[in-house]
Amino acid sequence: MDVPQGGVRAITIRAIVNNKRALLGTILVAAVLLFTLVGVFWTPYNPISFGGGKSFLSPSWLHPAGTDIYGRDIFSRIMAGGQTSLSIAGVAVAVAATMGSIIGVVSGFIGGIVDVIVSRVVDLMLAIPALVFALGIVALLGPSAQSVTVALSVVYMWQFARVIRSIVISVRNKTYVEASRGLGVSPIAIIVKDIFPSVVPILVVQITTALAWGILDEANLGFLGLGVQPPSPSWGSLLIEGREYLFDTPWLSLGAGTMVLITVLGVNLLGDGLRDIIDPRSAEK
Amino acid sequence: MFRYAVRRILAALPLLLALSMILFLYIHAVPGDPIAGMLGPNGNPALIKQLRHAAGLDQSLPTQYWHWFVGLFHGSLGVSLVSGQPITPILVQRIPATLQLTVAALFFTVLLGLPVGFFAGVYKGSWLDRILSPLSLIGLSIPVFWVGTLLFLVLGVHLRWLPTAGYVPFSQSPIESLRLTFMPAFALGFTLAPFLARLTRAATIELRQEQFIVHTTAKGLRRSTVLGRYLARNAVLPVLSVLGLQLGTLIGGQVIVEQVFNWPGIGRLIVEGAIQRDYLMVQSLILIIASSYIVINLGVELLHAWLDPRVRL
Repeated sequence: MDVPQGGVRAITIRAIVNNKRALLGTILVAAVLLFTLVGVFWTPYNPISFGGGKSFLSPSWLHPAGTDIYGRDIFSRIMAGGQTSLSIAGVAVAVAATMGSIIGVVSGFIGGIVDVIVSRVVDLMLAIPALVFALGIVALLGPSAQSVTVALSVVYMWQFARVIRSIVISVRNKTYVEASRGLGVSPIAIIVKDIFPSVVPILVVQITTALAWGILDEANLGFLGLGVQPPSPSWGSLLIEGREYLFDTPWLSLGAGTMVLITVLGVNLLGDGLRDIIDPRSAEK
Repeated sequence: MFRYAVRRILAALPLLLALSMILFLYIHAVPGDPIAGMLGPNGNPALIKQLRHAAGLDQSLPTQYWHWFVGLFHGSLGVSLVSGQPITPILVQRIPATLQLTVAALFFTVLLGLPVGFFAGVYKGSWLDRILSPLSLIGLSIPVFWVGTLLFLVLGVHLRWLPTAGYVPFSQSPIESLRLTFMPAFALGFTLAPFLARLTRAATIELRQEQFIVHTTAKGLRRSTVLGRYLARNAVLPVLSVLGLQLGTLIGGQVIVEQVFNWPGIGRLIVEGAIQRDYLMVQSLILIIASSYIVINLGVELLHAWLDPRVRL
């Protein structure tokens, strides 16, 4: 894999404003973050307590997404649930990116038999469909927000390892790395100062991709009943409730699902835009 | 070709062995006792001990692995912790439903994705090409349960055009079986097609610049001949091999869709196992799913080599 020329420094406010996808993605992501942040402190109705409202109301001005079986306002629950969903995806991706980068850098830098073994293990891990793998881990740990976070970190880190390794291998023998080596710079310093900077741009793009997966998979696991458990709201847990009462209140499933769709679309747009900004050649294709 | 095939197959065998080992270690590296987790608050130490013994969990890890591994060679995937039934027959029973859905989903993926991608690539910059990129981004972002639920509500509940859930074997009643297959397969195909379209477009654009395409055009062959005989045929190969790798997404989506439409396939089986925390069931099913992924990709690779002899070198 080639190392892009533009690099992270190419990501400026002007570059984002000039790139349609990056701009639209930033706006969507910012809107979702604001929506969620407000939801942490304030929601139109209490999202958790059974406050005696009417059950299964259709959407109206008072309840934009209707009410659920306990008369709770679904819009408020979606607002409050964002916090859990986004933190699960965020933490899982942060852990996966860190672990995966370490595996990728070490494997690519050391090379030889270590690299061969690590690459084989990574290939095998990637042969297990992500959702199936995550579901297996949650089955062992028991469904909860923590289990979902652990499962998604473990599942995503291999993709990071593969991508990072391929970049490390492509820069490992560049003249500037050779030069540092010749000057007797320690391997750790070479990794930190010479190799890591080339990894960062791809890492940024990979992180956005993984965030999109994370939000989708939290929802998927929730939908299967293996995510965050009701009554605590998360987009995933709203979906399993929504499935139970699909005929009475389709707004619950569709509302939480639409929120997931908007968020993932925003993250994907932002990722695509950033890829174009970092590597202008990819935009021409 | 024969030698190439044998070499590739031999190279895949240790992969499958390593997969079974890694999966086993993974499951056992997770902290906490699976039996205690399965029983939850109902568990008392004596019962846990008894069940651990029955499941062989009190033996050393290598012994446990050996038992499982020898079992695999005899076609036995072990015994479900929850029901006490052997897993293999339960799995085999679910295969026809799962395969039917997979094939139908692939049909819709190809039907929607291949022509759109091909013509977007041939007529680069046309309206079709310009809407493809945003469309595929939406396809990548759309949750499959959302598409499924929407189809279910609109076509099944509101318009009553199609039966909402269930499965009838094709051999029993072909028409009813296809009517039941339509919605889950379309939901899956709809979410996967944009990806295929993107791939096909890229492959087509790359080929268009190749010497032989330029040559056939310059020679004055009819446009339909150039497109059909030379471009389309050659574009299929790279698309095929990447599609094999994309199978994981299809399998993940299938787990969800089987849940939406009450489809009695392997996806539902693994979710049921996971909810009941039947770790042996889950471990064996993941092994089967990942192995089929490896085997199918091996098949795709061999097919590719057979169709395009250059790959064998």
